[in-house]
Amino acid sequence: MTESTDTNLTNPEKSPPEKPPSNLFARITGINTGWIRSLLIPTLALLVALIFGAVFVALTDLEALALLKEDFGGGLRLMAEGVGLAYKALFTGAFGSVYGLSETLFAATPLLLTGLAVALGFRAGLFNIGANGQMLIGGMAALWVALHLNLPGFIHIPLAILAAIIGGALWGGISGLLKAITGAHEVITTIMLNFIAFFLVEYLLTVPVFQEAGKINPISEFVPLSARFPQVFGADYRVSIGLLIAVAAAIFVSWLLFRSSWGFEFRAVGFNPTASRFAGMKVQSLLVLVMGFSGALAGIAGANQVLGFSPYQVTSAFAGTIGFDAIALALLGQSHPVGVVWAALLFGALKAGGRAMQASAQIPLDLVVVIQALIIVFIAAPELVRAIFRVKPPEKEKTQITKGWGG
Amino acid sequence: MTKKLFTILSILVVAAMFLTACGADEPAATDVPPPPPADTDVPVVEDTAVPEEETEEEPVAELPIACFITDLAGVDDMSFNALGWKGVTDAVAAGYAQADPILLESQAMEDYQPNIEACLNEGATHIVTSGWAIEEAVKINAAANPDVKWTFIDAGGFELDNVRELVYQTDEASFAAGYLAAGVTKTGVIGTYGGAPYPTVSIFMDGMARGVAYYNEMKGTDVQVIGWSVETADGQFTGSFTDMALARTTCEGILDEAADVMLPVGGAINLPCGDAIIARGIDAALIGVDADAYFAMPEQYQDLWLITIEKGIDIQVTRSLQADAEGNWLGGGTVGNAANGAVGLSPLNSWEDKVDAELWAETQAVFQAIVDGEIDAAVYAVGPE
Repeated sequence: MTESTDTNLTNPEKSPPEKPPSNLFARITGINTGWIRSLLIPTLALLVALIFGAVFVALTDLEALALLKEDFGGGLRLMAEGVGLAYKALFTGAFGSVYGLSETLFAATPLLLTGLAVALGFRAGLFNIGANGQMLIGGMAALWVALHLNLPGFIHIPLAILAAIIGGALWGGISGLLKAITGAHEVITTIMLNFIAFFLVEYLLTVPVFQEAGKINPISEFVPLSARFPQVFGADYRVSIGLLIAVAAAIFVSWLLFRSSWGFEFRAVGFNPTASRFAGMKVQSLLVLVMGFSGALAGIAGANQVLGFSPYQVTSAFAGTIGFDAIALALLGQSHPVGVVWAALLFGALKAGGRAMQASAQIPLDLVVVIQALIIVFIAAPELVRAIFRVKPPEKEKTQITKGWGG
Repeated sequence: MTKKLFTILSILVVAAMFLTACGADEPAATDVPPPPPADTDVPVVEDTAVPEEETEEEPVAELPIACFITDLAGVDDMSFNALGWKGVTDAVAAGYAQADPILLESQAMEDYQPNIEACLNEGATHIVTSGWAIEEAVKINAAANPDVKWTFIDAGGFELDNVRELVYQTDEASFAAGYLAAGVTKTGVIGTYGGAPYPTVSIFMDGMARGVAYYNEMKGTDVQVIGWSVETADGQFTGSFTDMALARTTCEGILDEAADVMLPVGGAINLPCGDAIIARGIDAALIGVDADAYFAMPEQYQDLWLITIEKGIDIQVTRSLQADAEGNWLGGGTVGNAANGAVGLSPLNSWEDKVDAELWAETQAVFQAIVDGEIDAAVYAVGPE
């Protein structure tokens, strides 16, 4: 394949007379002007989700509902106050202070890495539901290096991350391999591998290789100082070099997808595997490769969870639900690295702000989850958002999410 | 058709926007005539502004400001998180803590630290946390904040004066429940399984098995226990508190061996066992743990609960806050047991008519003997490591 076919495929929906990307950023990442418009629907979806969220806050305000019967205006006012208080707490919790901002970035770090992992899969037509499992395996690989190799920090941390990359890549690669060889659908295999990974970790944390000495509960030994991610903004803020790694990963994925020949082939397979095969691409090995890259990114997120924050000790819950949030993130970011960065920031903000909403506005955290879900619903139904806001659809908009079953 | 739908949706959205817009800055814009200078300060005062600003400098501040942090199971786990929070709200109702206690649910491991910080920032003077996984975060923050009191629902390795660890000699009540179960069983087989081999889980199984053995000893019967061996101090575990399919399979396996009283220990993993019993249509019973399952668990299982081995987490949390309010609070391990009423048996509820009155009287006598120290059922070691 030549360079010219590459650029054609980058923007399949654009008409031929297209200006080449002008600035350096665009040249490196392959991202050009279209992205501002592509922000429109996600932004509107967020807006609608926040509005519906407000309705939820208002309708679950029992005090105000009770008052509504006697004093309709007063009840409404109380509801509105509740909504205002909740969103104020959400916003200030996420952006209102340096601490809030740092917590937003902190929460965004693993989300960004796993979001990229899922987005990369989407681009190649693969639905990687297994980011959680890949995180767990990658994290445990990093933990092993952290606990059992006695090295100075400047080599210990890169080595632990490398172990996480390999662990995650292998775990993701299994699904790729199963798909390539047997045709087993990656949705099934990645979900099942999540279970295997979780119970494996649960077990590993009870063996002396990982378990804290003298403990009965499945909890790991403390990560030694030399393997802990240094904090970037000082000891008061939890943002670590994990964030820098995640940003670097985003740039790398941009480059990989839009500027490398592998990335070209990934996307070609995503658009049409049959045509790609006829064009001479080794689709089978590409599937393994994509799942490997995807798993590697998730693996780094696992390392971040293990080495990235106090108390530098983990239980089997260290991957949390991040790998599943990542699916939502990748959808929200329309499988574009830049979109995923924004989406990770948004979800990070919802996490940091959600805590403030609980603490100072006494609103259950569940509501933040509702808002997240609403955003996804509206993202998944762009026609709905367009209809609400009377946005004209672009002439041709193709966001290849993933192939259907048996694709 | 679709157009209509969109119109309705649009109206909904606009209405919603209207509501939020009010929330944003002008609360009075909807129906009521706005009070003249209705901006931000004046109308709000009545309700919301007061509790937020209170600090410990105020004269009322004799009472602790309580903050409760859950583990990952969340406050609606129908188990120790729910009970811990109940303990806090009970303390508030009884006047041992200030109104509007703070509740923070942890969704992920990395939430523990910021949740503790959020508690401290909101001026909490007494922080209650549940579950062993928060131990390290509590240790770090309790050491850094010696003026704040901490109640830790589980055993931990603290050596701090400002942390109280709540541990429970639940095998005392389990012993009596085992005695009851051995009298109730028709097949002569009692089954049990746990979520994971944690001491807090095994202690129920161990106590129950000892109770069964005591019954055998007294009556010369040979009731078997499947799923726990007193000799090897090991038993059957699913390895998960959330995998309901696995819990059901485990339960079915034990039911296959003719067990007709089951003691599944760990969160809601007893419900799939209830499903299995209902599906088989057999005459079998469940023993609940922690909070009285007859009330705590969904209605469709109500006929199944023979009894619940109650772990009074709420009672001990309330007592901790009470001690704080009354100024006689002490840190360290605090054991809840049969004698101090923090561990006990629930009423029979739906099994009232089915259990032989004499057996029930004996069971209560056994429990009383444990309370009085005549029977030593506190075999399992609890307490700070």
